[in-house]
Amino acid sequence: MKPLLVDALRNLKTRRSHALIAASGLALAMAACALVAMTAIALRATDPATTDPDRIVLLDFKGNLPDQQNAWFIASPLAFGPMLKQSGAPLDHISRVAGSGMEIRHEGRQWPAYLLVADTDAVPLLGLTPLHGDLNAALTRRDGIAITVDVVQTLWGDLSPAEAVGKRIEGRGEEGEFNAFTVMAVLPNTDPRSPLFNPNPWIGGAMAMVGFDSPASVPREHQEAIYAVNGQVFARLRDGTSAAEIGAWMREAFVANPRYAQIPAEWKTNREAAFFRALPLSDLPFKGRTNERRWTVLRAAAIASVLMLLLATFNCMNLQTAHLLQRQRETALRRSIGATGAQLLMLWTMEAFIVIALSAVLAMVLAWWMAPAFAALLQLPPGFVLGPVPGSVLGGLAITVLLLLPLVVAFPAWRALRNPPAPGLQGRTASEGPWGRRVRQSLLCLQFGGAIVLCAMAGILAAQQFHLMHADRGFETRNRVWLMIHANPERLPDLSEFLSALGRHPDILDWASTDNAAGLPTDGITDLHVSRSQHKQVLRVISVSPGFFATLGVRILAGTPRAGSGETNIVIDEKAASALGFASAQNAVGEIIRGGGDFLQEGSEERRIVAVVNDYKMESARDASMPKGFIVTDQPLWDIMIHGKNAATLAQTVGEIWRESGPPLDYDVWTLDQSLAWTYRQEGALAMLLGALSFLAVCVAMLGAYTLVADSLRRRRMELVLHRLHGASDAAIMRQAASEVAVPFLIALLIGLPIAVWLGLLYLSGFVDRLDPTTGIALPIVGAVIATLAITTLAVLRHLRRAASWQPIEALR
Amino acid sequence: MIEMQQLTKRYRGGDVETTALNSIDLQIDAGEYVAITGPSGCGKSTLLGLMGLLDAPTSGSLRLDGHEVAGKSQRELAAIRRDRIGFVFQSFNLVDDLTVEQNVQLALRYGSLPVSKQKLRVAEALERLGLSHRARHHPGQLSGGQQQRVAIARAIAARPALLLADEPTGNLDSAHGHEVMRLLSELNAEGATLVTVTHSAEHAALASRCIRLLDGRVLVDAHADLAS
Repeated sequence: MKPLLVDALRNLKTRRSHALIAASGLALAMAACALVAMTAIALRATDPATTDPDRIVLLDFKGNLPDQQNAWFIASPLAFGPMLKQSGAPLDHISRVAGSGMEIRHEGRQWPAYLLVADTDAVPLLGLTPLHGDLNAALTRRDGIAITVDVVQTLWGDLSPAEAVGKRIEGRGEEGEFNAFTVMAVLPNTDPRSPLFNPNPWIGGAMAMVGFDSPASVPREHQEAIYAVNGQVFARLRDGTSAAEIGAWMREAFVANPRYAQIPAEWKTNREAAFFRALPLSDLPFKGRTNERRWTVLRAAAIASVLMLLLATFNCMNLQTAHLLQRQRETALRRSIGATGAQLLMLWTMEAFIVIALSAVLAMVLAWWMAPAFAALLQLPPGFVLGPVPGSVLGGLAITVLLLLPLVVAFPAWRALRNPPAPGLQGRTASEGPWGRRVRQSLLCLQFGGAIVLCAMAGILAAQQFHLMHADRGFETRNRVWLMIHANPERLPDLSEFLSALGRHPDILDWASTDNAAGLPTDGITDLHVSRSQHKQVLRVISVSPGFFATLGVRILAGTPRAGSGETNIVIDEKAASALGFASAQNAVGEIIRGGGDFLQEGSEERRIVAVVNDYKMESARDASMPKGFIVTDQPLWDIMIHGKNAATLAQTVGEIWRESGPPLDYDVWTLDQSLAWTYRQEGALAMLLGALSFLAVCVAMLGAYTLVADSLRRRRMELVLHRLHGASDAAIMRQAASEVAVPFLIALLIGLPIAVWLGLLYLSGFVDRLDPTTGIALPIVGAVIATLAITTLAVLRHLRRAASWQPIEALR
Repeated sequence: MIEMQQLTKRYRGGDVETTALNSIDLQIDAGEYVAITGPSGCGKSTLLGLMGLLDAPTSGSLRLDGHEVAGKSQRELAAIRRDRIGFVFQSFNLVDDLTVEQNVQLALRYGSLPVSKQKLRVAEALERLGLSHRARHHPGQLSGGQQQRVAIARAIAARPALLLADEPTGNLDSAHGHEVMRLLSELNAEGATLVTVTHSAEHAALASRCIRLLDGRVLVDAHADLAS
């Protein structure tokens, strides 16, 4: 084995540039595959503290409202906890967990935290283990509270968990007043894989936990509601019970509950009012809108990575074929001194193995090094750590090496062993023949095709992302920021001093407050409105201050936005005016519409239309835009939108004003462009990911084209000299040489373009608000073709120029 | 047909200058069969290269059909080669990936002849060389003698007035070598001017004129009739 290894290493050394190109292409592709695999493994993992996650279930609920598209909530009414206990369902440790906001007060300052209200059964069920103290006591004592390390650090700096236990703090939930609590336990920050993890970037790991008897707990009526999704209910399946059986138990308990009678008849007559299921914790990483989108991104990345691996493999096959053809004399010599076909095959396999194994090692290092950047790109939850490279990924890389080996060696070796040794010894090298050449060109063609598809998709995604960020949503984003105050919306502190300072500042042009910041998608309140002409329309309703429209540059078509005195004033958008039966914007102004019910029930609150504005879009581009209503109020609202003169300094200016004149609360300032980017972060991540992968794929294909053309021209040198001898011009010689890549490129276009168009249309079909399917797809595809062509030309230009410099006299040498 | 006056070719490699041809005066008339002989390194192939307009002289004059070659552009030289000169090489210089007929057609590819006529010419040339049945074969499937016949077919496909052969039998056994020389002699007899470089005295004896070079100079320039 050692002589073989030495021989293989020596051979590789003589062609190190080929080996390096093959290895670097493979390493990049394998690193991309490894990163995707690492992410998938990390994303599907459950909290290690939870034992037997296949047997612990989360009860899930999906409303079935008439004429509505409903989705599973990955949550349920809290009432299912006691309901299932009473029904005798085959479940143990049924425990409710409700999440909400909490304000913690200490020494005159307030901090927001995530509040979990939980039953004590959740402690053993979910493997909750405090660093210090008694968690059960925190959940059973009315004044008990458990807090995470992050809260301890915020309140007391470097205080140890043991020292924090017993300390008194003040806190309040979303409703109720501040109460004094005793810290009974200190918890580690929640594992991002835990079902209790709250991925809120503004709060981070700050979490508190209390029991359902706590003054900070969820109100009693919320705990008893059966059609309000207000928490999560976990339980352990009894032996012999499957998760699939639990849905029926839930339905039975739901129907048996006295509150079922209160559900409107049209929701439940001859139909189900809701659907129920139980999800094992091991299934949770795949469920829910965010998780599903994340897996979509990962699937796309996986496809692109595997495609790239194929391209790199084709590269290796091509290079290996070229290389073995070049080594005909050496092969003939080895055979003449007695080497068998099997021994030669062993040698070539060893050479290929060294290259591929080297690539795998390099890929591993690259994957480990790039993991944090990749996690950030995929917008994984904070604290979600990728790496070190898990054993299964290492195993996968090893299997990949073993799979690639026959692919890379078999065909070139078959070709090389077919040639008899005698001509090779005489210095006559056999041609690879028309089929050999066709196979190599086909592989190059697939490389180009893959690169074109990836580039085109990256272009389409980037163009759609640009469209999402710049499409007309009915408001301006330039020079506008959003100030979010970390406070309970129901109990906003006095902001008058801050707002006066804001109004006085020379760099601030306008400001307004709202309960729904522009740029972020919102479900909002959907409220059925009825006009005098009995036109009915569900409006998505938000509350705004009168200056909202001027601040955001929303065009007012008629009327003047102003708050009502004694009556509710509403501004509607053009779409709403039309749906409510008004012939024009002017006709709508001054009219009364009735609302205040819910999206099915007519309300009795009269609202006067004071203005009609241009269509305003709050929904994500994936959802259809609903007609809008804006309740105009002078009451303080917690999201403050600010229009300034200078985008570069606006956020800093607002921060300074807040620190000088605002209440002692944490805050964040985002530009509206940042809000939009956050809304479309997964689309953006996918676009960036595909952009990076397509760039790498094009590089891999170009490396292939570069070395192939170099090799082809070396082999065809005499042919081109003969062309020159018979009168070929520089252009004709370059054409001849370029045909080596031009034909595969053209065939690649024929194959790749329809695939790119199909994939592009498929991607865009997921958006209501999307690029024009013709120009939106055509331009990125043309761009991809030009980019691939340009890089290919760059890759082969040097060879073409060299070929053009060959002189006919060489025919005599 | 070819007139050389004080034709000199020097090569420079680094600081070393080598004189390959030194003040050659030579005239070759149309229809002649000239054999150029001499030891290795005497300048035979250099002389052939200059005659074939594959290389430019360092100094002196080279006239082809009465026209001075010096100062002509590469495009003009290529056109003259294409229309007037055919080449036969020692190592055949056939393209492995092309079939026999494609190899022959290569000589016509850059001319003005339409493709249909090119095909006719290729067929005629192959017929003339007795290779019609090998038209679709690749060079690798032919013997050395057959490969050189393909090379000759390529050289005559454009019906050149001047045939330049650089040791055309160098890679052949004697039977195939004689066959190739017979073919070249036939072509000369049909009117083509033939200049061949050879090491073989036997093959040189077939020529009507023998030029022997030594150290870049003409040592002997003997016409067969005079010699006899």
